[in-house]
Amino acid sequence: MYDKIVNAFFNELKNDKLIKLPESFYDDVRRYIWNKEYGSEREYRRIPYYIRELRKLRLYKAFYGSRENLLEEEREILEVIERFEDISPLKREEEEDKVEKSEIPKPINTQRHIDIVRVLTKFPEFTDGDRVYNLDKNDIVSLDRRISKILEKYKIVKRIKGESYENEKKDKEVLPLL
Amino acid sequence: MVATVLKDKGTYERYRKTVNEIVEKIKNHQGLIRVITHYDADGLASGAILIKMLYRLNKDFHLSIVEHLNEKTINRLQKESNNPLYIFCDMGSAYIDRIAERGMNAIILDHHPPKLRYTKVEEVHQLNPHLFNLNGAREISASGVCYLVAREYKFYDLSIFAIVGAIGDMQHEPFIGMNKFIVNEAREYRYLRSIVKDIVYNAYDLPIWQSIMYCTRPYIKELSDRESVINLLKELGIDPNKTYLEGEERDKLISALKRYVDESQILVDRYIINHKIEDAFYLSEILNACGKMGIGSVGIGAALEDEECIRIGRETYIKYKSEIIEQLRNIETQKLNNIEYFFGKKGTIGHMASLLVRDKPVIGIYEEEGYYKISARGNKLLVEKGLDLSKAMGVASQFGGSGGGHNIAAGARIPKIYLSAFLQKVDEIVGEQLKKEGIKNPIS
Repeated sequence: MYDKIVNAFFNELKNDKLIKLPESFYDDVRRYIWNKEYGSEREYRRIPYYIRELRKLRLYKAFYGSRENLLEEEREILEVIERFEDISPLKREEEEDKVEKSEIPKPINTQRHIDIVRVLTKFPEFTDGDRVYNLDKNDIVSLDRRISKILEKYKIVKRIKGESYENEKKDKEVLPLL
Repeated sequence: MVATVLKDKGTYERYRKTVNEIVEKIKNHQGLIRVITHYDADGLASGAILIKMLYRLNKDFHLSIVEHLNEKTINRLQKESNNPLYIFCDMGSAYIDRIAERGMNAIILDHHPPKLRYTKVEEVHQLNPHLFNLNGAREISASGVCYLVAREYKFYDLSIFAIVGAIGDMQHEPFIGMNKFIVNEAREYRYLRSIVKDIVYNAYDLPIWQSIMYCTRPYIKELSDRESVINLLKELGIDPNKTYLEGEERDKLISALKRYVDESQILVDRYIINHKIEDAFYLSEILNACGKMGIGSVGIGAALEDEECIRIGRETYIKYKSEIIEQLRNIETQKLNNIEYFFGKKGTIGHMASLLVRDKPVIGIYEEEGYYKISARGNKLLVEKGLDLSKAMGVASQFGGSGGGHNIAAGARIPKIYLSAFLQKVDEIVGEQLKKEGIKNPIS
């Protein structure tokens, strides 16, 4: 079960859309903890972290995107939040449509944007399929924007917004002597 | 041309071969590049150079900042996934054998005396000025070594960080050898806008009373509190909140400060660089403060001109200097025949020892995990008389510890129980070194 929890978290992190989880996922986790089926103290300590972060991530995705694969338990939490903030999904879609139509042109192809980030807090090992990430506080890392955006949202990293590091041509330019 | 700095054709050819191999190695590596750098100003400036260079080369990178390299760190790095290319900056030459024997694919860009005098051992390339008859303590710093690689890709704008790093390592009084070459190159491409003779306090964008109070190069004990500085400025008719002094006001301040320190310590060469923090000395001070306060990544962010990092960096400079000045006020040095020593706090003892040096080397000590960490500092005059702190600290190995460094600045780590015996031995060695009158040693 521990591996399932860890995998669920990292798969969620890697995917833009909600991944499919068994409807009984959270109940299974609770049962696993209550029955003390975890393998070690370390696992016991890590499980709440993974579950908390997984749920936050899924709610965030559902709040701003498709709700396909959202579990019933999560749907209830989301409804409470929306009632509290008086934001109906319909109203939000209308608002987003307005902004999208008037201000944001649709991209015609995708590009790989790389950010330079500084790591604010240690984060458990994860992978994007190609590379394994071991982020330690005070490190500086190049990250694909899809990953950096999520990690920045959760205050794991902070993007370094240097002004000149992208202007390779200009940096190579030879200027006249003084 | 670099060839003009290196002493002969053979040396230059060896240099070219080493740099070319390193450039190719970086270019051809397809996976992650794992950078490990030192936490001082030179190490962080090196980090800034490598990050900009690797980003432009479209390489994936991951940089970590460490206080010092040891077996434990190397073991931990070796176990990491991704099969990376490792680049060690401002460190690594003392561990080249250990890195090589673990089969790590690595590049060492260091300026400390190397353990093995080879440019390549197994899969480890080493670019170190000592291998090319250059003085690593005086003629080029680690950030200079990193720049020598970056300039091969024509990233001449990164020369300003080599200047910043060299200033951080006190190699700028004056710039000589490869440092001078780098300064000239930065000037040629106009990334170094100008070099001006000015008071050191104009380097900071702080109210002048703060610039004087927090400045530790030079450290003026009599002006290390707010009231004393403001009183002095008022006596001189200078507005304490001005951030820049010129003309008559500047002259008046210089005359007044001459009663505490030599004019040459106040009137310095300021290096104005193409950067949001315009003064290279101020940027090196910010990097140093961030590194020592455990937020080196913010320092590198400031070097990369991130506004938030610059703001935090400036605040950290003030915080760090406040702590340093408070500690300097409270330091009580103990005297042996040839050395002075004191007990201080982690991250500050080396700096404070260097500020306290007068006619004897000063040794700062702090305790960590059953050991004493030691930083020894001399000055140019003592080195010219024969002082070699690298040798003196080297005796730590006789006491179950380790030590080394440069003749002007070195460090050691020894088990706690041997401190007294170790200090006696160092006192004896330094006494012997300084007895040899007439020696004119260069700083190395």
